Amino acid sequence: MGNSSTRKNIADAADDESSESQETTSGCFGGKRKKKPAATLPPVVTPTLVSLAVNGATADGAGGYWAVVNAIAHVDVVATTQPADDNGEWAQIAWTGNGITQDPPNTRRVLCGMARTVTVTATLNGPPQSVTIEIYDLASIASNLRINRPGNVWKDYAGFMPANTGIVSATTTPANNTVWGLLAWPLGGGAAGAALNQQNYNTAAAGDINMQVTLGAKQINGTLHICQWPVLAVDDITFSGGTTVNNDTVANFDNHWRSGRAVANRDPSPLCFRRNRAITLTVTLRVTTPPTEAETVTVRGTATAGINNIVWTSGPIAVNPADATVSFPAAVAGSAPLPDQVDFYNPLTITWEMSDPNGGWIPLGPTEHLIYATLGTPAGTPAYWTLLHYSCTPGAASDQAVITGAFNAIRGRNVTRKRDNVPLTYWTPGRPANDPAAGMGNTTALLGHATGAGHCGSWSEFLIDMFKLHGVTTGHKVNVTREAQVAQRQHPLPPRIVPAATPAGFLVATWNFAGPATNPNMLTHSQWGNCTEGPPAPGQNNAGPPPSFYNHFVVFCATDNRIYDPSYGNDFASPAAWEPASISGLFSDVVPGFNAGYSPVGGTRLLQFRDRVTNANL
Amino acid sequence: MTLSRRKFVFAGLAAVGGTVKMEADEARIDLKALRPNDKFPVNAIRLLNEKGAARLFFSRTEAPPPAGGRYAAVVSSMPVPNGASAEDFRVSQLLPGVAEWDVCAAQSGRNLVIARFGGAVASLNLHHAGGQTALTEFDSSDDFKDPRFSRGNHQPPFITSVVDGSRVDTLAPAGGGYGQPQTALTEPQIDSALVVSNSHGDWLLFKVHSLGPMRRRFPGALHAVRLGADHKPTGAPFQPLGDRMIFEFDADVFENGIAIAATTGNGFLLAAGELPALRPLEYKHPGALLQPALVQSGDGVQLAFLESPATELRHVLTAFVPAASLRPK
Repeated sequence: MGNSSTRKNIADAADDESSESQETTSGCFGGKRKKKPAATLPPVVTPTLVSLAVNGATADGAGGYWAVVNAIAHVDVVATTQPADDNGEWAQIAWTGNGITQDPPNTRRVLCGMARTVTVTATLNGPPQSVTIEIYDLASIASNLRINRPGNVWKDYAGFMPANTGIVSATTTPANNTVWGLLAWPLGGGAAGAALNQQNYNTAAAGDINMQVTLGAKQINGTLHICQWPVLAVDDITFSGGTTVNNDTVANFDNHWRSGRAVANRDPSPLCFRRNRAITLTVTLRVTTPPTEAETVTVRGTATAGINNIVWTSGPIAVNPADATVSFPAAVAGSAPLPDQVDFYNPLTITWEMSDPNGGWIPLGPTEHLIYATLGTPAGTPAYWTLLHYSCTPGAASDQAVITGAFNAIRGRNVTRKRDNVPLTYWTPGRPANDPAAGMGNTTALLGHATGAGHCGSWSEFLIDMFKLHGVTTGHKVNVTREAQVAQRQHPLPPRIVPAATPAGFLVATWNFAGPATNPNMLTHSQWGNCTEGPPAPGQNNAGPPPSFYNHFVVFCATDNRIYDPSYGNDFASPAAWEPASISGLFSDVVPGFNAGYSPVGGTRLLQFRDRVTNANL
Repeated sequence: MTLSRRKFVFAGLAAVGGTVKMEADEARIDLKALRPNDKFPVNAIRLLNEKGAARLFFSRTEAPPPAGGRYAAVVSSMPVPNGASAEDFRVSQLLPGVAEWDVCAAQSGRNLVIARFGGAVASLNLHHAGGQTALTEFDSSDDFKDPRFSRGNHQPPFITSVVDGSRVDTLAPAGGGYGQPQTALTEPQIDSALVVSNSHGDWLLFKVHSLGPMRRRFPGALHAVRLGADHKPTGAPFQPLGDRMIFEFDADVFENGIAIAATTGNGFLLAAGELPALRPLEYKHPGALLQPALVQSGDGVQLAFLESPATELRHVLTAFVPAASLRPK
């Protein structure tokens, strides 16, 4: 239509000027027609240019034409003349135009090998006629996707582009709205971009967008390769560099945190590290959404432990589409150590992140860990959970602080076993005849037996082991016994010395004596006769432990020279202070007769305190 | 007791009738309850061969009277599999607890060695027809536990005890009584020991415990070592049951070798032969068994176990295993 209309306009213009043109043109042929009389000769018609037609280009609606480089080899401008419209007339046409060629004679050819503007002007005995042909070029396309691959393929990541928009820009010659307005984007969807040469594509979802831009017959195809960035989840953290915590004799904890494991009691695994030491860990991550292609990510965890901020940063982690899990390439130590003090981090929260393609970090969520920080390196005892729990006094930074803190933690006599919250008792409440406590003589047995019952030996070792977990080895087990022989009143006979082999022991507070019991060397009363049991001294989780013993274990601490009696939750400045506060008197197995006596109110030392480490008496 | 040598599947527990059926990979042993219709208070057992017949000794701890007094460890006995029981020993006990003891035949009746709980530590007492004798100082700082009479050739037998959970002491007969304890072996985490004397010598069997769920004792591996005349090891200890985890064990002379019964996580095992090579056979049992007791008796060995209910009332399960089924094939 455009061509026809244009052609018609040009022809009309030629008709309007035809008479004048004929006169002017006739002169040109006068030589040939002079032999005939003017009246008889046909009128001399001066050839004129009727119109210029353009073939191979598109009318732009404004009188011009355009074509696209290499979309067609050439555009032809064809002149129509009158009256003959033949070679003779065509030969008279004066053509101008940059780079045009003739072929055939009434045609001027505009080659389309490069972008340019060509105005073709033809003149034949009249005003010149011109057509302007724009040779446009669609040179290339470009995208804002960050990874450019050969073949007009651009890669980026779903959800990680500004406004989730991928922009494709077409480069044209010339670069102006006129040309851009001629662009079409027939494939790949999208929407008009900010400029006429741009098309926007939604990159929120992974997948390939095969797009196309055309300028006339020329097209350029491209692919927006929108990839899935991997999505990871922390699946397993393995800690190292510390001391493995034992689940109160049942089994060692595994030094792992595992996703989905119960938080209560056993899991995640309690951890133990020495203060001022770095925590080392490695992580396995579950690939919850695989990447489209192999990608490389970095994972980091950050935590705040007291005044220290700790960061664990992985090396490069390759994530392949088929991977179910990926792991740190190597264990990494925290960027900072734990603070230089005993502590109990409950929990230490590690916030995990993974790198994103924009250089930012994607939250992976937090993990929580029970972490005990000890004063020194644990020695001489398994790191039983309960021991750690009660001995890690936050802020302690010296042996004495650990000792005091540990004892204060059990002073209340309500220690419970961490693995199952069973109260740990000093003997069994109710004094059952088959009390298993009698057979539980050390920490392991105390923590191991189902009932959690133990005697003074296990409780003393429990306290000593609390110290040892911090590298403090100044806790000594001390055996308290009555070694001095006593006499037994033999009323009305004279007193007799109790045979040396006869077991003698002490009555634990409190016993009530009817009548004076003031002779430390004489048994003057009868147990359960005129020496009767009073309110018992409460022990660990037991309001009424046995009221008399042949021997008893306490703890002497060489750091502060104090006597600690963990069975009862008491401590004393010396053995001499322990006796009157702890016992009511003495007894002997000698029968019959008076087998109890002396209430130690006068300060007389009755008992021997044998340090089992030094084998010396205190 | 019935025993058949064949592969079989788990037969289940039939405790109502007093019969407990066992499962094994090669043999089947039916443990039968003594007094099937009468659970009785018992918390410790031993077996003794008296004049060729097995006799079960069992103990309980009696509470003191309400007005006050001492606990008592009461040791009684009865023939196996049937017979009347009689009280043999009643030992005053200052503190509550399951008594640890052993019995042996003596020229005059029977002897009982028992650990006397003192609170912090226990000492050893020997109870005999003439009364009682303190075997160790009652005010010693050493904690004597798990006293056992040696089994086999020595008459009178000598005594072993686990001390402080880290060594084995022996007390040799001397002057009609026993001498002072001598350390035979030091090893961390020992919880039980026994000497079996056969024609090849005196073998100290001891269990070294590890950690894990407790069944009266921690699980551990049985070790053995031959003792010299001085009761010191003559070589390096070895593990006659390999790495098998056991809780408690008992042993006796068996023919020219030794027979061992031990409780395991799944039931119990029996092993017989000449050390160091034994062939353990494992038997499954649906409930936990405690305190295995084994004694050579007639042409075989008598076994006994304690059931492990929550209360002290329980059955004692016994079985006789013919020698033929114990001999290595």
